[in-house]
Amino acid sequence: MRRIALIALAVLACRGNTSIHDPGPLDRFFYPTGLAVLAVPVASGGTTTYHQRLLVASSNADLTYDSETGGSVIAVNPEAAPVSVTGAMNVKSFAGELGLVDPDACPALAAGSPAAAFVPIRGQDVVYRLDVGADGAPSCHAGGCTIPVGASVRGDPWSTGVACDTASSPGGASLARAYVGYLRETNGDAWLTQIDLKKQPTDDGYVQHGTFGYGQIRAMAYDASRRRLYLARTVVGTGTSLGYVDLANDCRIDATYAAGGCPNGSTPTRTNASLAVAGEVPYGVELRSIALAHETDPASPVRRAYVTGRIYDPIASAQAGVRVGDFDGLLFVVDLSENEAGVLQFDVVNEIPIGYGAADVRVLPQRFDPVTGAPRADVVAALAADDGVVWIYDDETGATIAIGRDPLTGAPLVGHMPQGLAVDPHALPGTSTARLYVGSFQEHFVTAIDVPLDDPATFDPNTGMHRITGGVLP
Amino acid sequence: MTRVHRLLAAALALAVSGTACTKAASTGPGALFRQPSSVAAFRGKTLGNPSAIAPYLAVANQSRNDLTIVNGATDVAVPAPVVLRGLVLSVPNRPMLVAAASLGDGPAAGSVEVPADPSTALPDLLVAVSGGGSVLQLVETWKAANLVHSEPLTDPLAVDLGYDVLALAVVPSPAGTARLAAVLADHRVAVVTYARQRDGAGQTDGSIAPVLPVATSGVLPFQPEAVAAMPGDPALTSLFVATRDPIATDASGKPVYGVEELSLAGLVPVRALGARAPTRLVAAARLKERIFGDWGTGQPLPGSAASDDAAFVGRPEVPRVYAVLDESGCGLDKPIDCGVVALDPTVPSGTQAIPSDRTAGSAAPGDAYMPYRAPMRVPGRPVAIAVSGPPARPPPAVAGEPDFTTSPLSAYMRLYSGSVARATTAVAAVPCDDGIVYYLDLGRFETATGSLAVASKPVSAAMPAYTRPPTCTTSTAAQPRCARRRLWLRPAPDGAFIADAIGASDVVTMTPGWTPDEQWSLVYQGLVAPSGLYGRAGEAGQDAGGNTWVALQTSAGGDTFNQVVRLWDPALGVREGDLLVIKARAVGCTGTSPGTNTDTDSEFYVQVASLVPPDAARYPGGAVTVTRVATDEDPAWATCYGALQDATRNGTVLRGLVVAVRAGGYVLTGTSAGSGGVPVSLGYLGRPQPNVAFTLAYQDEDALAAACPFEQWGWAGPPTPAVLGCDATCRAGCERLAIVRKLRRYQGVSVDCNTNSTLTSSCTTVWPGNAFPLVPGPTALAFTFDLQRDPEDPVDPLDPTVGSTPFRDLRLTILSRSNVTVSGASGKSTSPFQASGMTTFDRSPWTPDAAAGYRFLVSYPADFVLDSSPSHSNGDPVVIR
Repeated sequence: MRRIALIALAVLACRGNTSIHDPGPLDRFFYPTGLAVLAVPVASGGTTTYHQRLLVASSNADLTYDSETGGSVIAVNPEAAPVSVTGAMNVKSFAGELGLVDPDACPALAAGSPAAAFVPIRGQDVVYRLDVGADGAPSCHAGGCTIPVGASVRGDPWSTGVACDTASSPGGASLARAYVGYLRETNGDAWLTQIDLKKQPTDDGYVQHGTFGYGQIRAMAYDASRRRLYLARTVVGTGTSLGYVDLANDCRIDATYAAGGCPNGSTPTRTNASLAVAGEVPYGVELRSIALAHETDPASPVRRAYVTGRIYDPIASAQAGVRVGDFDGLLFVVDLSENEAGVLQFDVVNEIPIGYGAADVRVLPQRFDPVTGAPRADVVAALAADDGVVWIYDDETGATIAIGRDPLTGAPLVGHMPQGLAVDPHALPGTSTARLYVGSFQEHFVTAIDVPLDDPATFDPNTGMHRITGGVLP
Repeated sequence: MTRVHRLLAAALALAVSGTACTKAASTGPGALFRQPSSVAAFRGKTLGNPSAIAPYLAVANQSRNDLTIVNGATDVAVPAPVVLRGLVLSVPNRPMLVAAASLGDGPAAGSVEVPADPSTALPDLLVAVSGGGSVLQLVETWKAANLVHSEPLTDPLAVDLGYDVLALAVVPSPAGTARLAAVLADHRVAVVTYARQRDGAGQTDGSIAPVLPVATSGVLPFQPEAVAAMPGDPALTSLFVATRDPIATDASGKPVYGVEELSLAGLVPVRALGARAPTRLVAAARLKERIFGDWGTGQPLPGSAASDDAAFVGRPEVPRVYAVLDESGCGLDKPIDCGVVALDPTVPSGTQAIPSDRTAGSAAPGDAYMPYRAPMRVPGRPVAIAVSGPPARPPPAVAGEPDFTTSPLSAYMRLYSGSVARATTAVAAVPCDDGIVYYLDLGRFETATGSLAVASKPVSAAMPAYTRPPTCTTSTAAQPRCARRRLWLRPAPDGAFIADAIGASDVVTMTPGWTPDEQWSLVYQGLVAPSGLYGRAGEAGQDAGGNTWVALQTSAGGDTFNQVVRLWDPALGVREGDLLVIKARAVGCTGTSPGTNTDTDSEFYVQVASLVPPDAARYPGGAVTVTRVATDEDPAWATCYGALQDATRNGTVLRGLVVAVRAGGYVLTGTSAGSGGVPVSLGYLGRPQPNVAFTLAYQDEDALAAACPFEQWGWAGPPTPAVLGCDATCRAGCERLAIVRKLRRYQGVSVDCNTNSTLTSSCTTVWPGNAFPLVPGPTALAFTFDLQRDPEDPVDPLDPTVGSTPFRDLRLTILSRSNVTVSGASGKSTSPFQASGMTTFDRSPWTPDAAAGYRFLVSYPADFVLDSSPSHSNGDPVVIR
């Protein structure tokens, strides 16, 4: 114990340049946890090209800086040389993921509305609602910078999700909402908080909280065509399933369906270890993230999705009440549909081992056949955080690329403890190259990965990756 | 030396001393796998034995970028030169696949290996593939250093196939060569040939090199998922690929799913083997199958169910392909149940390749209906499959058991069914996601069992067993009539009620192989489908005629609906006269209490007046029109019905309903008894009538399917005229199809109840109601029930005219036992889930313990490999880690 104390003192002594009362830096990332990409449309000559701003939430996880101001949300222009900061602000420490509602992809937002960023703060159980300027600069929302979301039954908000209806959504565009999931819940309930961006903070229903099954909601994906928000939840006890809540008809998430709340459900689960059930999530796999495929036919009853999961021991977990074991990670390619009884089905089309710590999954921008213009199958990025590997999967060929470790040093190419995965929704200007970002929590940088959409197999880690540690202040 | 270094040195010294002190009991340094993804068995040289050919296992460690080498004869990791850990071979970029193949040649040029004689063995081919890699990396098995050749640009021993390798399989090859088939991610298959390198004098150091160019198929019109080659004569082999995609079109224009055969010449598709469902895993074998089939005389052939070679006498060796069906196209409501299906690769392309075990006009009661051999069903979801033939050396004789060391049994392999050592011709192992490796007796085309199904009682409890039906337990003062009657069993219509539950086994008929472990619930006005039609979201409106309709769905806006229950589908079992139970809150009425402790929301009942076809804009799954309940209506329900009508006038759609569907009369449902066998929940099973003999029996599902227009429509697009014109008889046929599919044979019954009088007696005891020695028919359940009035209350003053009246939720429950205890193995103190790789290994030539026999090795992500063999009575599971 004495030795540990000495080491701790030594470590603190080495940090002589900072004080725990200093705000976190605004020109560099520090324990980044959340990433998002803001598309910046630039109209020229009748065409619009999309540039980008990278938003990074830093957590100040070791409290090097002040607890109240040690975190940050920094927007950088990754296309500038050197990378420049286009806006930044301090936030409380222990940030989680960063959710972004981009007006460009969210027509339900009032005309002229700025983009909105959401940053959950663990410990203090608040969520920042930030306005994001056209150049990416964050600032407090006029209606209040933080939203208290904690309660005795839930805490440590972490994950974020967004539900935006598109022009093709049934019944016309209407939804613009942000969602937050939690790492701490009593009774094992899966708490979800909804922030309605079409309401004012003083309106009834601006913030609603509801429970949807059990576990922690670690990821969300919204299907605008069905007005359905899918929920990837951690395991509590025996079962694992993909949950969902249907958001149509202005229903509330804080009431049961019988009392006027939103209808919800999940894939079926086993009642017996040996009784396989059609449409279930593979037995012994805890879901960690989900991303929906680009939609090519809104009327189709089947929606492709990409889901990451971790293999665990369901028998031991049933006895312990929590997940036991974390043996491997998988990327699932699944078709989601409903069976004759209206029950959600999780039909596995392909599964790819990705390694320890299966985490975020994202779909890269849609690609099209250069000759026919027909949409091609997706290119997907998935993160195995504990192994430090980013996988690129081509759903057209089934081929994969592992962006893993440096063959000489053995270090992960994307840094240690990768955390956060974000995709520029548009290909880089004038190219068919997708830009993907992954943060390194431990090494305080973000890796930009450029994936050639036409043929991802030609990706070259020597030329297709570079690191961003922050930016030059204006 | 720093303090840290000193601590490390001390730890090292302690470890070394500990190793030395425990050497006698040590089993080596431990394999220390790290996320194993694949396992292969090979013979060659390693640092563990640099001078001799010995058997080893190579286990790919994804997370550590290496292969662990394990002694194949002892399951102990080969020590590294630094004996603190096991020997590993570095393979870059997350090795995902390993495969090994014998070249079949002997030491002298032109000679061939004698499998039972290890002295004739030469080093095997061993290759590894990295995750997302296209390169077959050759491992030097002929040198103890075991170099890995990984760089195709600079090393001719590494072969780049150009695209991601998804699966590998060994292809029979002439002596001195070995071939590997590889499934590539770009819809191609490649075959790579390797050859033993010999000098001009025919001498060899065992080295192996690829023979270029690689044979590669064109782009196939389907994505291969797995590949297998038919073992045996290299000149007669071909490849078989599993795929989830259609592989042909049948005569009626419908897609054919199954396994595609590729010729090795040109690697082109040559035959589509119809399996009635998509496939995702595949294996192949040449074997004899047991006597079966034509009971033209009305008597089975004596040897058909023998445990020794008599079951195979006179049978020819046949090629068989074994495919794991993909769950997207198999199951209780699909054209075939899930499991492992046997396919005959000699049928015409595009036709059903599942052998039929009957002949035209067969008098066999049990086999007269199934138009195809039942798939071998295993618990859970299969994640791999491998097949082993008989071992090179037979197991030693065991007193009191058949002697496999002498002819004719020496040509067979031993497979234990409990304490009975059976002889068979091929065995498959199927690791499933419930953590158990199950075995299949391929010679008998059935799931291997832990005891002889039919004839044995695997547990001491009487089976079949029945539970006494619960009589009304509410206050007799409140419901005197209810408390004085129950649903109970008669031996036949108008027969005397049985005296007690013990006698139930005499009046309920069940059939081995057709009756699963199940809880059968007969309930008056029970839920039509307990798991699917309870607590469902619903919406209501009115049609142009003012009739109130109810649909089970939620509107997402526009023409989009979620959670759509296909009420109009006869397979769901909803009928006119059924009851909808609707929570009163959304309707704004009072209703009545549901009478349970867990649900306090009041509710009301309405009755289904008619079934309404789908309307894409209003109810894509169809709807029901409802009216007031005809009998025993509570006044509060009438009020609620009025409120429901009011709430849906003028085109208003009322949302937020919570609905359950109950039968208008008696309904039979089945749920898993959870007691063993292959668990299954059958769900809705029809509407038995009281005092009428009720039989659940299999019929020709293909004939029923052909007559049901819903089958052709498949809920794709708007309803066809044939579907819209499907009358009551037609709908009844479709409902029957849905039930019949749940009643298919699920287990072969290769136990000789027919010619062995001892067993006949035993079978009759275990399966009363069956007429052994004839093979029983396809009945899953047969019984006669009725409402029994309390004998002490012969005259019911409250019900004087119609005798007894049933009450809602009166229930008769019958528990059935299949007597099938599926045989399998699992590791102790492990987490055996989501097996990652599998191979077979014949250890019999390599150890004095010939009983070691044929082995199945399965790798698991939880850092271990399970080695087991059904040639041992207990499966002999060994966990290597």
